[in-house]
Amino acid sequence: MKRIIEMIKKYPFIIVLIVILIFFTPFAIFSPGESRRRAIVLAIGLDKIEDEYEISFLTFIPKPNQEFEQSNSVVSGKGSSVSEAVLDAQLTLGKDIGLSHAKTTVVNEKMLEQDISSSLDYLSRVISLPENTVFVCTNTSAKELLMATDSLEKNIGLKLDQLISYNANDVYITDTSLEAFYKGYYSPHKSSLIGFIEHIKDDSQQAQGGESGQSSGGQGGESGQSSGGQNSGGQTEVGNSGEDSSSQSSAGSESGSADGEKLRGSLEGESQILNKADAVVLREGKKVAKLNIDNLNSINLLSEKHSLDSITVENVECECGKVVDMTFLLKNKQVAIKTVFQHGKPLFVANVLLGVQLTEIDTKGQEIKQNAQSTRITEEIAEALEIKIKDEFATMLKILRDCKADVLNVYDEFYRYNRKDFEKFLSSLADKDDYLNNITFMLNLKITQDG
Amino acid sequence: MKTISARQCGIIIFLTILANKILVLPSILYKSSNADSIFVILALFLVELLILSIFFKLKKNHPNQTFLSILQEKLGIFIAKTVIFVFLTFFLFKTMLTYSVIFVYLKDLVYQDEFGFLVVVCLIPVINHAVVVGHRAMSRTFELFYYLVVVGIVFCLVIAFFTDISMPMLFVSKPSSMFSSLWQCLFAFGDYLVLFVFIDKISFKKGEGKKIVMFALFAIILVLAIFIIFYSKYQLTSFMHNNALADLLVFSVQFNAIGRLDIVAMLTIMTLGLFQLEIFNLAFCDCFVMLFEKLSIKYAVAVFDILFVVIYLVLIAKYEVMISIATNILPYLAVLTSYLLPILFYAISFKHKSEVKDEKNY
Repeated sequence: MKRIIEMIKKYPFIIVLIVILIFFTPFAIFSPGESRRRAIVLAIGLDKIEDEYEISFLTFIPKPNQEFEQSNSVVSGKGSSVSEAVLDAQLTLGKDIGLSHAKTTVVNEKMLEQDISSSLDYLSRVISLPENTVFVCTNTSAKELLMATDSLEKNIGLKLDQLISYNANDVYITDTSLEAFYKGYYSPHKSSLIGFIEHIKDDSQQAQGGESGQSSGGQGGESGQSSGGQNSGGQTEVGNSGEDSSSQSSAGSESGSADGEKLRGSLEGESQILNKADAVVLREGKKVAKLNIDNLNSINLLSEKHSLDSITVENVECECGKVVDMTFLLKNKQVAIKTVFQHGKPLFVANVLLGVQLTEIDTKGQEIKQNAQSTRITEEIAEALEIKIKDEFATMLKILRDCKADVLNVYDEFYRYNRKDFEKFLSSLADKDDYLNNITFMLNLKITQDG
Repeated sequence: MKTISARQCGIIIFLTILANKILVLPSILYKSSNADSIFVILALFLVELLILSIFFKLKKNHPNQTFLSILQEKLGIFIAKTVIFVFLTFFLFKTMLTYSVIFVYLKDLVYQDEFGFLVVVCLIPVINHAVVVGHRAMSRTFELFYYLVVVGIVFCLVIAFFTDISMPMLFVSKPSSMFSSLWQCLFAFGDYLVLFVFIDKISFKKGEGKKIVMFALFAIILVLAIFIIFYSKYQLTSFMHNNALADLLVFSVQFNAIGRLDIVAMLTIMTLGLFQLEIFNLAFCDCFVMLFEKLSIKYAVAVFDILFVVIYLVLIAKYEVMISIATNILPYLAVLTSYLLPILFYAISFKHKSEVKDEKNY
């Protein structure tokens, strides 16, 4: 005993360690697991029904199983503000909300009629929604889209965030995260671009039963082109039909989860996610325009990173003299952007060198014995291709000019390289926000054959 | 006496230069002077390097004397003790600010529940122990973990290049906002003052001073790199990100797929934070012992703990209050300790020079 006391006297720090151990060991042993206290949210849906907010969380339910299947549930809460709705959802769950793993934030298109930043403010600043969450909007309710994601995963093993990441990395190129939204929102031009995921309720699919999942979503970016003919006319509004999933899918209890399964099951046959790789242009947090994949490809024309594009030129004469439709695949690209002032007027010059590969020839029933890959791109074909690209660029530019949304970051380019002239130019405008209409765009294309 | 080498001293200055500058400061400065804040910190670093030369001069003239005895010899006991008291206050608040910044980072990223008490109970004894065991043991530990810290920081910087970055807009702020930024960040600087307090504990041979300068320069380069890359990455939303070093790793779609890389930043910041707290606490305790010469370091540690709990946990209580005090009130203290007093020290070294000259003439 004497020895122990002497040792403690010599090393008093031992006492501190013992006290800490005595004090905290019971806490560590008896405190419940983190997953019992905190719900892991994978995606968030935000809707506004009249004056009431509804927030939905796609939550991961940890439970032991021998399959590689992740068990998720959609839980929602309502309130007059976003914070109240979150609190309501927490009450339903019986857990706190943990947003660290939330990779997707979906909002209803209708919410974008007003400045969305005020609704997102609470989520990102107070309850730490990561800014790298991909920000998308949908045509129907965000809650239903989240519910439909489950069938997507069950049927084809594709997760919503994978689908959206694919869009973000390969289709939009321009970052579409919440961070990018805020960057655009706080910039002088106040414009940003977010993804759009179409959610449809297909009656014909409903009749066929559970097969809908196989046709939903999995087509990725390219499916958007083939299914481009589908428009919102074919959609039917999926109402809440009085079913409050928040009460049915309360993941805190086993019975709640079972009800949640039932609800998802009923939706499987009638709900689809259609990824056409569309995007929505926001200005001051409000939706001002919707862009299709062609518009996006035109925006991405100015980005060297983007190469997922195929261009079809109709009615061109090939080497053999016959008129055909030709499809080209973009293989490589070099872009040089220059901003200059000529006689006091701003000129945005984009020099783009495109390396394309002819991948397909639609002979329109004519007999042509020619391999697409060995066909030479003649001057005439290149010219037709150039006209097509320039037309699409002009269409995209018109949309942006009409809504005064600078998602091309023209403002930054001029401000960075011609600051004085640009400030002078802006001050000369009656409406400073309308600068896109007063800038001349020059697109110089050089098309070469690749491969 | 157990002294520390030039290399260990360099590591101490390296660690202190990084204190309070790599988490919340870039965000605070961006609010007032955008990316031009880089010029503000660059200017302050240049001044610090000049003041570092005063330390070398003082050390050269008084190689074995304690800080108190140097001051006492030149300025008398009253002024000497007053200066030491000012330093003591400076290091007390430095510790509080460092703790506050690290605590909020951990709270945000690791454990979102309120756990202030838990951190104090676990952290304070470790810091106290480091102080009690002394300068040499502490600096050896720093030496051991130095490369780990450097690798952690460099890793964060390198990973940031895998995301979209573009040069931030410079020269957009007015001089008034630059001065406002400068004032706000004054208290985050002046960390090299620990060297004045440890002056008698450092032993280095002729020419080894360069080593210390190299460590200081390396730390300055790292801080500048963090500022530049952080502003390049976040640009207009820099004000929204309060954990600069950690935020360089996150918010990238690509890296989310690999996993949570922010564990690297977390470990680096935790190690750095612990070491910085130990250094500032040791500086406080050294000042206390100089002020009350009859009391041992254990009393200094006890007084620090009481002051910390009473002032920080009871009176200040909130991070926002601490940041507000650090950016509005404490800059006055920083001006006094980091800039006015070093001028006084310079005068002392000058006085010493003239005295030596007089002796030679005699």
